[in-house]
Parts: sequence; structure tokens; C-alpha cells
Amino acid sequence: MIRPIIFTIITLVTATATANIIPTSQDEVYRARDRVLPALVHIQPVITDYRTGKMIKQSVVGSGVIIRSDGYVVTNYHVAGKAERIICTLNDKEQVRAELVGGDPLTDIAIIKLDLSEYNGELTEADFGDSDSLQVGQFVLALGSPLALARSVSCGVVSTTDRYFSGETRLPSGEKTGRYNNWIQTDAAINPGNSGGPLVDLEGRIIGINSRATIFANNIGFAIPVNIVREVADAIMTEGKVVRSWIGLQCQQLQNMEGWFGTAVDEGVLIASVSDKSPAQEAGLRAGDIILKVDNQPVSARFTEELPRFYKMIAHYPVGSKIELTVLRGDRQIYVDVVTHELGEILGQDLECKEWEFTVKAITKQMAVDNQLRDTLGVLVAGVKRVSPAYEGGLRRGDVIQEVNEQPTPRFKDFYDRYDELTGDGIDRVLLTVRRAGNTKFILIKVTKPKTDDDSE
Amino acid sequence: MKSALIVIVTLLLTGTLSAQTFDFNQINKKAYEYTVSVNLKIEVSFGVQTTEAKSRGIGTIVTNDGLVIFDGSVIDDNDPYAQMAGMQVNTEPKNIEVVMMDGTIYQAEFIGVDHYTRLGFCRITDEKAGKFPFLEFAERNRFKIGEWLMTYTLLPDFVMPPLSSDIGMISALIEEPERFILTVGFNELEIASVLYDSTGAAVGVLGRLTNPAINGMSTAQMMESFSQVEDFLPLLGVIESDKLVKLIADPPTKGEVDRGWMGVYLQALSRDIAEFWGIATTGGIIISEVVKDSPADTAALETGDIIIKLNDEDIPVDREENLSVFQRRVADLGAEAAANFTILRRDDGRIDTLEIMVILGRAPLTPSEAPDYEDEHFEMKLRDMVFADYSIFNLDRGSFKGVVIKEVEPGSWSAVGGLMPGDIIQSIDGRKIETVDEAKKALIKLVEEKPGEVIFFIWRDNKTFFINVKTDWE
Repeated sequence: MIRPIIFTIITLVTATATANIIPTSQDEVYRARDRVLPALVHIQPVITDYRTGKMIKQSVVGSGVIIRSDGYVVTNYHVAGKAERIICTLNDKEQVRAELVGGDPLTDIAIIKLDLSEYNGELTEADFGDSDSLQVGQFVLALGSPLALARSVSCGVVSTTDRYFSGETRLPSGEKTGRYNNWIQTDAAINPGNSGGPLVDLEGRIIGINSRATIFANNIGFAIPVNIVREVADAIMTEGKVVRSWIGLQCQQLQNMEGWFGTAVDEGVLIASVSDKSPAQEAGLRAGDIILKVDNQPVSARFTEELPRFYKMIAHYPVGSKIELTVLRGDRQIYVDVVTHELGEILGQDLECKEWEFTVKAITKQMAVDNQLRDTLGVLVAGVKRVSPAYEGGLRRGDVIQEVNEQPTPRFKDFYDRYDELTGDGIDRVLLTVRRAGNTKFILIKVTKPKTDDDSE
Repeated sequence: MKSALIVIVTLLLTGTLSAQTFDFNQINKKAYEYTVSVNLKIEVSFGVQTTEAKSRGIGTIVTNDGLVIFDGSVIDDNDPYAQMAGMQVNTEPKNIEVVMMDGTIYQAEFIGVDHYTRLGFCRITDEKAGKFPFLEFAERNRFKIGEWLMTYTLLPDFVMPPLSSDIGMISALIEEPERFILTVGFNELEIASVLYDSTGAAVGVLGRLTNPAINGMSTAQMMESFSQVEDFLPLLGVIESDKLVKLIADPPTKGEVDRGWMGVYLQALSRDIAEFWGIATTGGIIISEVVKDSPADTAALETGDIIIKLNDEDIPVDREENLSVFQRRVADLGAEAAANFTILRRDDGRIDTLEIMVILGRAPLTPSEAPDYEDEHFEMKLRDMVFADYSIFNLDRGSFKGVVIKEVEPGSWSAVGGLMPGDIIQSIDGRKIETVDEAKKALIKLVEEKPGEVIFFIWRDNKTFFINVKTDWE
């Protein structure tokens, strides 16, 4: 009886001693693996793409992780955010269906819910870690389906905790992403298919969601910090979407310019541009103004990495809040009240005009700002089939349709109704009035009727 | 295979027979006097890269004071593709040498490129000016299919004598989109080379039929059409002597423009649209936008008006490719000319015919014609904003001001600070900048003050921001 006790103690002592020399033991990796692997999900969504002038379905592969035992799975927006149907393979190799709950392109997060009606097993949810207390050099594991190879584990360290990509990065589907978050950079191998899978610490807790890797580079991968993921996931699970306040500012770091602008180090956020017709513009804010305080809370962004913190602070206000900004303009300090608007959807609704052989998108406020459109009136041509009467007639991607048969279609629904009205028998010509690069074009489409079943033999 | 051979042989025979009628010796004797080799050293900047390139082509002295015409397409940067942000292609002739057939080398100064014919003009700078042998073009406006023409090819510079004769045949008399005497048998290396008829008269130079104009596309759309691979058969033919005589009398000068301009965006009235609107016409031009405060605006032309006649001549334009012909006709009328337009105006199902007179204005400068300034300390070249910048980037002419960065020397203070070609500088060190003159003053003032860093406020990709350029004065 005594012997085993002594043996145990020795073992523990040995373990501690080893830990002092080699920071990670194989056992620790196993423990982390065992905690998270059961929650790993292989996701196969069918997504839709309207950019070639017709609706195309694509089957893609990504990864995800169960965050609630009732079937909620977090993954990337670019994996499942536009999914029509989703099939998931759990870690026990059982397949279940899932449906999209909601997504947020700005942080590239989507939530899907597993349909457990035909599943007999028990789901294991993964635990969340804390991405704010990460250390550079800390050991991490990345789990997922690289190149569709399900249940793969790779290992590395945290390379950087606060990488920032200025918010100009775009998802494959065209939405801008990354404005509201920094990224964890890791050298754990991340390949296509890893998207949406968890990055975990040695306790097996999720510290990030793997989202992107750098092509033509070795082991430069990026994950969305879990503290952001939790916030977004909670909003999607409760509200179905993330609601953000928007005032229309693009800011930049003040590093090296404090002297010129007359601010102290770590004081203020510099306004670089103000969007047209935004609350900030209406309030009179301009490029070169420095925001010192937001509702009396000092703010600063000396480095680009500190910008998301400021953007998030504004986004967190309830829509319609009046915010008091303390602003340094030249050598005067002024106070500016800004009433926030809702940031709203990034991209609008899609419509495939099958008979006319092109696709359109409703224009959101953010699209108007992005594409330098005067307003959100009309619908944006998302794609035109290369060999089609529409292309022949001169319609091009990026055109904004203002009128159909010389009747205005300011809203998406107007266009939808006109399309509905003007398709069918007896209509073989449609005149579109479009705006292109600040001028008007008239486009005549000679409709070729698609073959119906009656025509085929 | 056999039949192909026979065809070739037949062609050669015919060629030889017809060519017999040329007195090659006599033409040679004259041609060796005024035909030259134009050696260009060009600076090409594309994005952040600047490289020097050399080009050598055939040229012809056309006045006794040493005016030389040559193929200007290598330095004509009036190309919409070139104006895209960040990808701006600038070509600047740095040095021009004119080499006579006897080997004498003269320096020449660049004058300009005619944007329609893409002929380049330069002038020899030498005291011999006034005494140069030169070519006079013969008036000739009737050509017939099957007629042979001859020209010269410039041989590589290690070959003596450096000229080789070539013959080609008039193959078609093109009427639309514009009159063009099409030839076969010549090649693109012979562009700008003088064409002689069988009497030895110089009837024109070899040129290309104008490329389709690119009208009002957004940058993305341009990229898209740019990426489209299309078979393109170069259509070579005669730039006729009447055009040349005009150009020689008044060569296009960089920075001084006299082309007529009305200030409209245009769309061809296709047969389909005409039919849809119930307009019985063989073509016309839809005014798709009127530039605010332009001559067209002053004359009360409206978006949607359809131009069917210019100075009582029909405009049979029914496809986009042919718009450039109309634009050229307007340009050729010159600034301050009165242009009479017959237009159709659709109003509530009714179609009215109106006569509207527009006093043409001066065509806006192209990016390459805009006044520029090169700063030796910041090692960048700036230019004024021009009409094209506003229309391509959809900027408001009234409120948006700045100067465009044409070039930035790699490794310079400016480049290290983050300034890039295509950026629009809106202020330097807090001073608002609207013209290169103001930019020059601001930069020269900095040379006196020698601050350790300079803050530029710039516009790029639809956004503004501040850039800190660290300096390192001697």
C-alpha cells in the first residue's frame, strides 16, 4: 500500500521538475485535445454566389466548434454565413443537418444550429478561454478540416496577439471585415478548410476562431480573438444579428504626429475621413479633428492596433444614442454631439433576374459609402452573364439601375415588382436606365425566352 | 498546302508587276535627305516603379526648321487605363535624338503627341534650323482599291544603308465609322512612315484606324473590359495629307490645347433603342450627361437629348465604337467655334426637333498635359488635377481640390513616408493645396524651414488620411 503512494508522489515531483525544464509535456497536449476534440465539427455548407450574373450554388468545406450542448456551433461567416443548407459531421463521424442562425461579416463569425432530432449521442461543448490574457509564445493547438481532412490537429505558438488589418480586408463574398477586431497570429498550421475551427490553449479552451492564412507563406495564420467571438455569438444567438451604432468616421493612429497636432502621447484619436451624409458629418466633424473624450471617457489610439478598441466603443452604444465628443480642433477644444445611426446590413439582398440574365443587389447605406454612390436609390448590378442580351445591350457589373421602362425603381421592392410584372409572355424588350460613373446609360435588353419543358423533346 | 503556295506566288508576282511603275531610285534620293531615325529615351513610371526605356523608330523632317514627325504612341499616355489610381502609367520623353541617314546626330525637343492620329512631334535644336531638307506632302484625296503605295522600313542600326523599301496595296475605302484608306502589306513597325504613290508623291503616313473610345466606365468596369481577351486585327492605312498639313502648321503642344469641347457624356443611339422610343432615324447620339457649367449646359442641352445632326450633317452613329468619330469632329471644330446641333427631345411621348447652337469651349487638359512640378528634395513629381481625375473618381469639381502625385522616387523621403503615385495631396504641413504652384511654394518654404517631418493630408481610394514624411536635410 505504501509503495504506490510513494510512487505517485515521485511521479508528480518528476512531472513538476520536467515542467520547469520543458514547458509543455505531451500529456498537456493530450489533455487539451481531449477537452476540445469532441466539440469539433466538420461543416459542409452549400453557399450561393450571385456575382457571375446568375445564382450559383457552391459546396464548400469548413470547420466549427460546439459552444452550447443544445447544438449551437460557431464558425466563420465566410464558411456558413450565406449557406442555403448545411451538413455537419461531428467528431464521432455521425452526420447531422444544421441551419444558419445568423452571421456577422464584420467579424467573420456565423452561428449555426445542429438539428439533433436524429442524433442519439451527447454533445460536448467547448469551454471559452480569455483572449485578452494571451502571451506571445504561448502554446496553442488549431483544430479543423484543412483541405477537408476532418479532425486534424496542428500545434504552434501565439505569434502576435494584436495584429490589425485596417478594416480594408475583404471576405471572398466582397464584404469588408476586420474593422472591429485585432487578430491572433499563430504559426499552428492553418490551411483552407480550417476556417471556423477553434484555436485552443493547453487547457483546451477556445482562445480564437481560425479564419485566414497567408498564401505563399509558411504558417502565418490568423484567428479572431475569442472575447470578440463570444460577444458576437451571444448577440446572434439572442437577437439573430449584431446591432452596431455608426457615426461614419475613419480614424488613424497618431504616432509621430502628436507634436504636429499638439496632443500628448496616448491622447486622442485622429479623424482621417468622415463619410458623406453620416452623423459625424452632420455634426460638423472633419478630417484632422482629434477626439479626446467620448462622453467624458478619455480615448486614444496612438497605434493602429488601438483603433478597433475605439471603433468598438462607438459601435457598442445603443442605436440613436447621443454621444458627446470632446474634440481638439487646431488649438481649440470643442464639444460635439453626435447621434448614432444603425450601421445596418453591409450587403443588400440578392435577386437573380433569370429572364434578363443578370443579378442585382439592394443598395445598403454601407454599400453606398463604399461605392461612392450618391444615395441608396436603385439596385446595384452584381453580375451580368457574359453571353446574354443584357451584356450585349451594354449592362455591366457596378451599374445602378434607376428605371425600368422609364419608371423609377428607387427601392429593391420596386425593382422586384417591375421584374415580376415584365417577365412572362409577350414581353420581349425592356429598357433600363442606369447610372454609371456619374452619368446615365440607356440599356435595351432583348429578352430571349428560356426554353420551357414543352420545347424539349 | 499547294493552293496556299500558289496564292502567295500570285500575290508576289502581282506585287512585282505593279511595283515596277515606282521609280525607286528617284524616291530614294529624296527620302534619304529627310527621313531620319528618331531615338527616344523614355521614362516610364508604373505604380511605384520608374524605368527608363529606349525606342527607335522612323521619322520624317517636315519643315525647314527641323520639325520631325514620328510614331508617338509609345509616349502618348492619354489612355484611360493609365489613369487608374495607383497604376498610373506616365511616359515622359527624357531625351530625343534625330539621326540623319548620313549618321549626323541632332538633339531634338519634344513638342507633343496628337491624341487622334497618335503622331509625335519634335523639333531639332540646332543652328542649322531653317536650312533642313524637308518633305512636303502632296494634296491627294482620291484613292482606289488595288492601287499600290510604297514606304520605308527602318532597319536595325548596324545595317547600312538603314532604309528598306516596302510596298502595300490599298485594300478598302472605309466609310464608317469614318473615312479611312485601308491598306494591306504594311506592318506596325512602319507606322508614321511616309507613303508614296507611284508618281513619287507623298500622299500621307501610315496610321491606325482609331480605337473604340472608352466612354464613362468606372475603374472596375475598365479593369473588366481590360481583362477581356479579344482578337484585335490592327487596321493600318493612310493618315491623309490634308490632316497632316494642318497638324504640321500647328503641332499639338503639351499644355496648350485648342480642341473644341462641349462638355457632355455620350451614348450611341442603337437601332434597338431608337425603335423602342419610336424614333425613325439611322442613328444619333444620346446625351447621357451634361457637365455642369460646360458649353453644353450653357446652351441648355439636356440629359436624354438625341443629337442627329452637327452643322447640318447627319450623324449616323448607331454603335458605341463610332462615338469617337463624333467626338473628334467636335474637337476639330476648335475652341470658340459655334456648333449647330439638331436634336430630338422626348417629352411625354412627343418628340420635338430643336436646333441648338453651342459655342465650344477648350478641351480640358489630359493628365499628361497638366502643368507639373518636380521637387528635388521630396523626389516626387506633382501635377494639377484635370477633368479626367474628377470624372474617373467621381469627385465634385466644386469642392474637391488637390494636386496629383505623378511619380515618387523609390527610396525617397516621400516613398518611405508612404506617399504613392496616384495620391491626391490636399494639404502640406497644414496649408491647403489646390495647384502645383501652391504645392511648389509650400515645398520651397519647407526647404528654408527644414522641419524634421512634414505632414501631408492626402486622398487615396475614396478616403483621406495624414501621412508623416520624415526628412533628412543636409
